Amino acid sequence: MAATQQTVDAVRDVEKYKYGWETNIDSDMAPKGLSEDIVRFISAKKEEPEWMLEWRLKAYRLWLTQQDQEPDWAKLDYPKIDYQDSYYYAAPNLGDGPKSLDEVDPKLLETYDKLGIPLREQEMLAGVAVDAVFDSVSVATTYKKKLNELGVIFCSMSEAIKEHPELVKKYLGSVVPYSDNFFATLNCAVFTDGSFVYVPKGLRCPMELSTYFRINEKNTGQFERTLIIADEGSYVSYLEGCTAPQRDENQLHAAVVELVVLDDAEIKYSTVQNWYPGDEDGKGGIYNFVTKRAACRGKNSKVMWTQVETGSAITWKYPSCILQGDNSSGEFYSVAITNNRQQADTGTKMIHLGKNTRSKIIAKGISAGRSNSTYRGLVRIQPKAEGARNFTQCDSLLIGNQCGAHTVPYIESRNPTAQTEHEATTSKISDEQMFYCQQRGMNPEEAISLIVNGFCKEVLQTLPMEFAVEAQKLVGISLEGSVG
Amino acid sequence: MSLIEIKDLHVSVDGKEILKGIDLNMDGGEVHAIMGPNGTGKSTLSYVLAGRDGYEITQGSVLFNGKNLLEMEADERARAGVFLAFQYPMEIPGVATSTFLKTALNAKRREQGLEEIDAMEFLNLIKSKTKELEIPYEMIKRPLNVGFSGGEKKRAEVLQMSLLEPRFAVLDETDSGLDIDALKVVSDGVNNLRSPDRTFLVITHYQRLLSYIVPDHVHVLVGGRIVKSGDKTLAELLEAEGYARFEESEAA
Amino acid sequence: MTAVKSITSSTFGDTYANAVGALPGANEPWVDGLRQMSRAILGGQGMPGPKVEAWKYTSLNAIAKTPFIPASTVDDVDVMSLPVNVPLLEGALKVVFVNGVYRHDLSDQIEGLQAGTVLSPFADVLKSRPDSLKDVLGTVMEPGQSFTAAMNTGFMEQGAVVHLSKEVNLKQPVQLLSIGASGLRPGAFHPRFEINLEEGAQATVVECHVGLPGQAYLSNSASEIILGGRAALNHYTIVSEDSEAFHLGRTAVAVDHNATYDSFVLSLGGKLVRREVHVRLEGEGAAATVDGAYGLSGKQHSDISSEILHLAPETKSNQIIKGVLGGESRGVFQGRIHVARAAQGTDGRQLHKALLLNRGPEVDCKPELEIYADDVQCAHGATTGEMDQEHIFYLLSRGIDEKTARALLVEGFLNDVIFSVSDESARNLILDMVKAWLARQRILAVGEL
Repeated sequence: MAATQQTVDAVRDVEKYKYGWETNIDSDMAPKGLSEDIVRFISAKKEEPEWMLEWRLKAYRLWLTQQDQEPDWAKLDYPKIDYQDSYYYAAPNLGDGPKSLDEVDPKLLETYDKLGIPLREQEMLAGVAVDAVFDSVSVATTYKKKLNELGVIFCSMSEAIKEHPELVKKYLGSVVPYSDNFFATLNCAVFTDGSFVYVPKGLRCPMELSTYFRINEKNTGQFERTLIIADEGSYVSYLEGCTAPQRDENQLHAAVVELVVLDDAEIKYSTVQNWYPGDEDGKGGIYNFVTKRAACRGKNSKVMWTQVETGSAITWKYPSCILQGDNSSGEFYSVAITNNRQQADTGTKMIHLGKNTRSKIIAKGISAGRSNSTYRGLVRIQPKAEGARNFTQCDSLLIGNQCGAHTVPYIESRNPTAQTEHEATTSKISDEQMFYCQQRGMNPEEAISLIVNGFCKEVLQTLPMEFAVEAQKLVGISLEGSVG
Repeated sequence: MSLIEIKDLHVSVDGKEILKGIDLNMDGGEVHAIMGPNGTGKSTLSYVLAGRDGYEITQGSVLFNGKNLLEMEADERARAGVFLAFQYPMEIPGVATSTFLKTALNAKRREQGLEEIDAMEFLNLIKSKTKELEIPYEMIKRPLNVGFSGGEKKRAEVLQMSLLEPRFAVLDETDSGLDIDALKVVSDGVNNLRSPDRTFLVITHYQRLLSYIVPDHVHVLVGGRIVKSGDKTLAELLEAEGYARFEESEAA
Repeated sequence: MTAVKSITSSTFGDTYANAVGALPGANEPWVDGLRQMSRAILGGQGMPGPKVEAWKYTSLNAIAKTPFIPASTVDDVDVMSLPVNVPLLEGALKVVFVNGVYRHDLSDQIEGLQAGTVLSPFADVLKSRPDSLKDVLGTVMEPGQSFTAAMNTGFMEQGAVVHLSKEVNLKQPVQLLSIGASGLRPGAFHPRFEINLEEGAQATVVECHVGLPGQAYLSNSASEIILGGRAALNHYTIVSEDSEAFHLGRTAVAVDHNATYDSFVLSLGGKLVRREVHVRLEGEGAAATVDGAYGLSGKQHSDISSEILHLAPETKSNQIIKGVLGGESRGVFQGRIHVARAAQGTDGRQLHKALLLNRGPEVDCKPELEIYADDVQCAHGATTGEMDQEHIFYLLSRGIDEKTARALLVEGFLNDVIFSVSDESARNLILDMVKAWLARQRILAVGEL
């Protein structure tokens, strides 16, 4: 049997979703559907100030007028979403809310243990501060005390709205305005929680900050909103992981992430997205429509997006950088793996406004089964971006002949001193490479995992150590079950 | 029973018969050399033994340690102890040589019921092996074979052999593309691996390699058949007279 | 289609259609049907706006606002002889059109060519033997594919038919020369070229689109090309329209097994030029080269949009497009390589390089890979930037002044791709045109190019 055929057969097998259990805990849910009352209900539940409610309502009313403007340009095929058939608020019922980890429902902690993020252990041992968002509600933030002493604010968005209104008012919606796009507008209206980070001037945040998102309730949409502000000369590395239980229904996830980077500051934002991808026939799975954008406002500011996208039935996601400050730089490293019937349309936008701005895009797409993976990216050089530089490398790998891999870059330059460079390739794992590995005793599954990991290496090595190991395994797992 | 028993092996590629009945028994500790002109089936034999796709075995059998080798997948054969040193080692971008070596080594250890090798132990092992083979240690950090010179590639092959400790090693034109110094290093590497429980099949076009790796038996492969077998003096004879007279007898 | 996606224009509506009068072949139901269908597409969809992905970077607003009349009704201007400076291909059979009308007096003798060769005016064929086009017309140049195709098909009147029988090798190249010349009112014309090479036939066809200075006009040409097995066509398209002119042209090609379509597009002149290339590699082993170059200055807008469809196994395509932009010009390249599931063994390469000479121009580039087969080697690349300072310095250090050095480097940049034009006389013609273009630009200060 040809190596490729083995691969194809293997990939055809049911992919095992490792995180497909469900946690049984009481939860507090709003009625199904979306209306102004629901928006008010969410705001009231969160005990939000008036200005926040007003902002939500403004977004909601705009969204109502946009019903014919749901983006349709992506290479994605899915049935029309019925926005009235989803729950917009589901909070694990925690009573008055935990005062400390000891008060957190042990079942919830167990869930995180299964996800591989033992909060307790991390609080005791590791150097990672974790904010855990469960069906859009932040349930626990570890390491709070220590971070507070340093002046770092790391809390849930709900808490930030109450405790730090001046920061939230100033920055929320300043990168992704409420009118940005259909999904972002929806998010503004109904977001329930998310993480908030503020790193003060000159501080290099000594630990990785991390959020784990999990959708647990049936029929719930998850709409988290994250805002990170790196003040002048500061640095922070932020990690985000996502999982959801296995369900036959499609669930909607429409998040917004805003990063604000001031002079000489740097944010490193890493995502390992492993939402439930649906079964082998494309039944179930998360619809992941995410707006992520960084504003490099200050001179010499820097943002690095790294994403490993292995989950979700539908992925629509373009983490972007607005390079406004002179000498600012944006980097985007992406691995997108699709298998079975998954569809991913993902990439980035690099908007060069300031002088000597730099951007680098490394995107690796792997398609298997009957999936389709598209890289879509925009590099725009505005007239004032003297000496700007962009380098883009997109590589696609096809495993089997029932899948598709697509590359759709947009390059727009309006400054002669700027240089852009784009390269893309598409190929398959060669029979020779497979044979070579097999001749050295690896089974086809190991061989594919090894070769694919090699293919993705440039991206994976940008992840923080503890994540890199997990991501490498995930690369194997998502093509596994699958292989052999 | 010999370690390797090849019986009446017929192999076709795309319907064309390349090997037309090979008989060859090799015992533990022996070094056999197969010599022959280009296009005579030497590489076919090595690929068939290693289990590459695209070769149709129309007749005959190969027993390895009493087991039917031809029924095993390529990786199973390797874990069972068959090693092929490629004439043209593959380049695999993005995969560090060390990662590759470790993965291959652990695959074999798992087969033997051993635990995966400890990182420190592996590092030390590689260090000593690279030193032995005069391979710059830096090389193992580079992507596998990518940008390696011809000599580096062949040395890397011997390094792999030395790590994986096969029972049966096939060297396919290991001398091609090597200068005399590189040839000596590679041959020394191979000679160091000679042992009573390891068998070598050295495939070569020239006698040159065989003055470094001295064989116990020499076979002449012409037109898909072994037309003559003898001891190492046969290689010297071939060097002096060429393959012409064997080709004539084949044609006749 | 929603309103935001189209531009309202009555230009090519009923009034225009009535003015066109009876078109050749109108009494043939299938020809008439094809025209009606195309006009229905135009009427139903209107002109595509910027929300239509294929027209994201090229606006048709200026065309929509111009009250065109059919150029065949323009009666206040005439061309009595071939203007000087018209690019002429050495040794070629010239077929000349003025405002879309075939000019026997300006063309070479095209009757009685070598056996198995047909070279005829399109209108004559539609009138006298329409059946010879029945299985061809509109099959590759499908009106639904693009606005450009629909407009041409809706109003096609004159043009040329090139038909070679099996194994015929037409030694003499054919030059199709279209001259636009508007009078007081802007005219629009829709030349149609039908090129059909049967199995094993070979030919070289050069299309030149030029114009006389004056009012705006619209040249909307369509070349429908069908290549049988093992056929080989060299097809070069030179667009050097007047600076007030609009040019919307489309080439649609079907390439059968082991046939080769070797092409080059040179886009130098015109206020707004869009060349569309649609290549279908339909038979095993079919191959296409779809190269091109453009040079822009002032407020020119040039768009090269190509789609290369690999539909059969072992097909090959190669595309290199190079552009030089000065003034406040805008250059657009959109290139899509599509590999169908059946097209195993495909080799598809694409490269776009743009050189910006000064502050002011904009270049927009969208190379696209759409791949459904796994055993493929596909790659694309795109670069934008200014001239390499080290190159300039090297020339300066040899005593060459900066103005000359830059001109040399610009020429070299374009020649790099022009050198691969396989037909020698066509290559020389293109090189000469680029040289002349550069000479014209050099009247301006280098910074204003």
